[in-house]
Amino acid sequence: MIPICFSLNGTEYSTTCTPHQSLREVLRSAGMFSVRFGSDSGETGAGAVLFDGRLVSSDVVLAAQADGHSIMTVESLNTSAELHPVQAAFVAVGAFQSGYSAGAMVLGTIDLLSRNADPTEAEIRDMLSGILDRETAYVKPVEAVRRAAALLRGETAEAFGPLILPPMTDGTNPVVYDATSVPPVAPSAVPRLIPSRDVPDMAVVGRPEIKVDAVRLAKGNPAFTDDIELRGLLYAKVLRSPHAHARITAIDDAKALALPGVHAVLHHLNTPRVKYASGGQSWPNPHPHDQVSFDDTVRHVGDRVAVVAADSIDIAEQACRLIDVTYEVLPAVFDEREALQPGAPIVHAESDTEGIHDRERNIVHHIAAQRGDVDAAVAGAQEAGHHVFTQTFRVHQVQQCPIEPHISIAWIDEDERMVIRTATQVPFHARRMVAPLLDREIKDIRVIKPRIGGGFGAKQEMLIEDIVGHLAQVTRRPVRLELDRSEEFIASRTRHPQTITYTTVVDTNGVLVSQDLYIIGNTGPYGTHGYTVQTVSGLRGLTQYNAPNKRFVCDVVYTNIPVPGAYRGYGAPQAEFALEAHMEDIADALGMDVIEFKRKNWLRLGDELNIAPHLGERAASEDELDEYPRVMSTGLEECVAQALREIEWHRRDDPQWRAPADRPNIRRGLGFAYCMHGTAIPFLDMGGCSIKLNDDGSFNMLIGATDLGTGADTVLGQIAAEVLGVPLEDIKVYSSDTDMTPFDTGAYASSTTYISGTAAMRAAEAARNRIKERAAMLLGIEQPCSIELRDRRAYAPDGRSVSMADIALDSLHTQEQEQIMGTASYVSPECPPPFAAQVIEVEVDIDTGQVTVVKMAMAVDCGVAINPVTASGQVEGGMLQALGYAHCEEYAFDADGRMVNDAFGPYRIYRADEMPETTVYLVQTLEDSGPFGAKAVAEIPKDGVAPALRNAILNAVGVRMNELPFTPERVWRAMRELVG
Amino acid sequence: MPLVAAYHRPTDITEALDLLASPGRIPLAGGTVINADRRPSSLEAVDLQALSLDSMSVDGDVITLGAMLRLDEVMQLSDDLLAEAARRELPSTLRTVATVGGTIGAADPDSTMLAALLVSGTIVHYAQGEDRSLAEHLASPSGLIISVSLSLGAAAALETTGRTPMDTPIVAAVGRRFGSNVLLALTGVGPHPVLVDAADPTRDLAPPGDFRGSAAYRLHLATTLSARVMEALA
Repeated sequence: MIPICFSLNGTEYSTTCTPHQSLREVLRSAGMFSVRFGSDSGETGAGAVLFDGRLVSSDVVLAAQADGHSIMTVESLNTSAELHPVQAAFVAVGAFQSGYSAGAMVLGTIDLLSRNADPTEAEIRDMLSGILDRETAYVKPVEAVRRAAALLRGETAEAFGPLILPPMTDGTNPVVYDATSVPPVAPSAVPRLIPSRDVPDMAVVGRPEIKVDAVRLAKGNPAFTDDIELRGLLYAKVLRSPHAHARITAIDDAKALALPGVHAVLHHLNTPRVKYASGGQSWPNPHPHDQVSFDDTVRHVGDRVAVVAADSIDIAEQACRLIDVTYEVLPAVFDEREALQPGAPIVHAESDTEGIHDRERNIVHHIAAQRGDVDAAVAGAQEAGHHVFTQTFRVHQVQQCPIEPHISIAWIDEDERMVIRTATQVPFHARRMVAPLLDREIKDIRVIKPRIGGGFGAKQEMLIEDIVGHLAQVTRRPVRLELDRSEEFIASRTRHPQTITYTTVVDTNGVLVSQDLYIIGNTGPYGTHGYTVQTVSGLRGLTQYNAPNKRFVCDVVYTNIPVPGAYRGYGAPQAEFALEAHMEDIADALGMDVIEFKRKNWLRLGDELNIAPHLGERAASEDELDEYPRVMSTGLEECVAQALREIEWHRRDDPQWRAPADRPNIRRGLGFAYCMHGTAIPFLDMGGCSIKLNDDGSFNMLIGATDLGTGADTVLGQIAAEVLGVPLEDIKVYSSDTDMTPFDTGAYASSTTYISGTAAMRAAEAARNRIKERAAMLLGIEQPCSIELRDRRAYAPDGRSVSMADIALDSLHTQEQEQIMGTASYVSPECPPPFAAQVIEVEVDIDTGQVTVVKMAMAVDCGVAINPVTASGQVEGGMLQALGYAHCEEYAFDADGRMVNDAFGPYRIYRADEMPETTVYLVQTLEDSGPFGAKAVAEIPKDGVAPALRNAILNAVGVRMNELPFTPERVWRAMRELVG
Repeated sequence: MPLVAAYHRPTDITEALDLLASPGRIPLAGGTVINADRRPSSLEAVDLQALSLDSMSVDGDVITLGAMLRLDEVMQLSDDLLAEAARRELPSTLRTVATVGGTIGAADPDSTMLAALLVSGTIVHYAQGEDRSLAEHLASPSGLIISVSLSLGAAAALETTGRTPMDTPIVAAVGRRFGSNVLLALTGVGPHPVLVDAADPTRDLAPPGDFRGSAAYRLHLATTLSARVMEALA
């Protein structure tokens, strides 16, 4: 060990370290929990600190290198409950979503502003270039730095909130595009809000309230899974398969077990074989249950072989290297089209996996649904003079890339129960699913979800909870397992690759007659979300346009790639890329304006969602349906009008703009995509909420919903506060602890605001009813319903009032004592669709194929945005991820199925200093079925970027890119093919 | 470069050279490459931070940069090419660690910074007392680098193609004019950045292909981007 001494936040700090121990590890051992792990190579910046005053990723600095230097972490600012002005600026503009990298952003800002009191946007973005963020698209962090600079210069800053704009339409009908109409001017971070006259003014809902967890995030307080210290903690490391497909013929763990500091080695020979499906879904999990904790066959590079628990990560890693494994390498298949072919390697040959549709052809699921008669429409097209268009698209594999990787810690508590503290989107599903694997009853397991550093679907999975559970049971010690960045790529979850074929029949007026969609979905070696994701692809790919005849057929196939699963958008981004590209090309072929063609066919108010009930986990036949669900709210025309004005759509047809004379190698283009998503899964997603009144008139709200950084805790608190007539600060939200909070299916399917929000509203209403009765008692009123709650008081019609605190004290301590509380749960029969218009401006280098995205704007109808700042943050972050999907992110493999770019950098995600201008419009509509009119917003921003970018490239250089992503060589080759 | 098994911090060049004379010891400059690799090894790190190698001096049109000068400090140079190359090399939280000497030692084939140094006529100075051109060093690396000296010339140009604007370029072309002469360098076309003949930039090149760009595409980019640089410097 090496003795080291450095200044830590102004105080001399002495300790010892190993030669290779990183500064991040030593700082976390010293209690600096704001210094967080994103990757060992430092690109995420989550572990950045000020090292002699400059912003440095502590991941790539040896602790020994820090000897004699000065280190500052964000904890140095936390000398009181008050926030430093820089922290306050980030909080004020909603710049933190998960807040996982909050410390780095705050420190970077302090460093920048110490050298430059008035930085330019480019300088701000350059500072942020070393702090990767998958949540904000950097829009609001940039605004936060600007605001902090102003505050530190002594200037005053106005409250941050949306820019209110007048509508451009009557809410229903389109308007003629006006090329002279100028888009509004405001910083990109400011959401443009177009109110609906149907929506009343409210005290808390619809307001840009500060997030309820903002202070803890800004201070870098210990809030995440790893921010806990447990005596006797063991560290786990997984030995992973080097082969894409192999049988383990022998495994010898003797040398590993003999290594001092090793406490357990688990593998298929000493772990029960309990079959399960890892997708975090409602009971019963869809078959096949094709996984076990440790198998005798590995089916992708990175698959589990064994796990070690040891006194340190170093020892655990060393022990993994001492496990002697003998493999019989088997043939592998990676492409979903090849996996279907006769003679392809069979991925699941074992006999104890039931429910595979066609084992010999690797078809795990075959999905089919139809309205009308597609075959007849195609067969009759020629005679009817209709046009038939067929196109095939290929979409690829990408990763969610939460900056916080998967991490779980398990221990046996004082009652011999299993406690699992884990970064999950689905704590209740995880508890239920892990129970049989650990041979425990559900009641003997408690799952705690602390703050999560992003999930995006990757954590909608019971991914590693069984491993730490097994090890905690065997060792009877707390056990921690955290994936490193490479494991996050090869051994967590990804988006499903697909091959998508559309056949569309269009009549002579440009009206759709039929749409036929065939998808081959690649679910990798395990089913997990394979059925449901592909189902959603069919749903989204066939719903947003009207056609009397529709058919969806899908083969979900096994291969040997890293496992796909849930990823924000959940099958929609794949299908909507293909659909919106296909529709663009049909419009071109018909010689129609693309927006007029789409408008002629897109869903309007009152239109049926005519294939939706036939798809999904609770699909129904036509005979079982009394009626089809319909669109009951849509702001699409307003979205289109605002988006087209923002992007100055007329430039699309301006040859001088498209081919700038002073830049001969550049062509410009504009692209559009129409998007429609869903809001929760009807008859399936359920959320619960409990609210109780405290002595001082405040409330504790217990919810099962899982805030991934989205602001869900805040939004649900706002809903309750609105009902109860108190400010948000009086609602203390505690979420997602299976022992403490009501059940919730989890954070997925754009359900939280709509489902859990309705539960929160109803629980608050139940509490409100009792509060009114108690207020009526105190005020001598006979009709409690005449009481109104507002401003922390209950008002009688005659103006007399009693405070919420007085009602609480009376009910808890004085007369007819009772705990005023409300409990409710909600499951929806509806799935109201949000709508959006996505526009993009690009420049294409005609010599190299390089595509530069200049600007993105999305106008979203999400009903009533409960909090327009957090809602716009969702749209910004969604567009960033969607841009990566379309433009630069991709898994690359060698011939043996090994990922060759399992690190940030080679796997490219967008940085702050290269993001295009990003603007968000929120078009209000009143969705009667949602809480205060809300619909979903979290996933729809994932849907439109890829097709809008594809269509912009088409506008710029005339090539039709039917395969993602649009990397320079692909575009260059397409251009070469175009010119022959 | 993997996890180190021992750490040394010599306080003068002689001590450093003594330490590095033993096999299995490697110089540690900033650490963005060595410390990022978590594979175990028996290698020992010799940290150069206490050797006062982080100076910068100007003598006429020749600039001397200490081997331990960080890239964020290079960004402060008045020379637009070097400043931009340093900015592009690494993001904000890593360029405050990475050094000139470490960048040369890593010899990343995609390093724009190295290409910028190549076209600046960089001379590498070693603790052992021998000087070589950077091109010679990259072709046959050896010796403990203590500083480099370079000339800024009159004009410079940089052209890149990447997946995103700040992506590590698939290929970059960098040029600097010295009177009637232009030095031209390319990245992404070989085992390290190379100086090429401005009149025939792809001659003798055999770039490896990967998922970001095939060999043929890289040759195309080399031709195209070189032509743009030469046009800019014409």
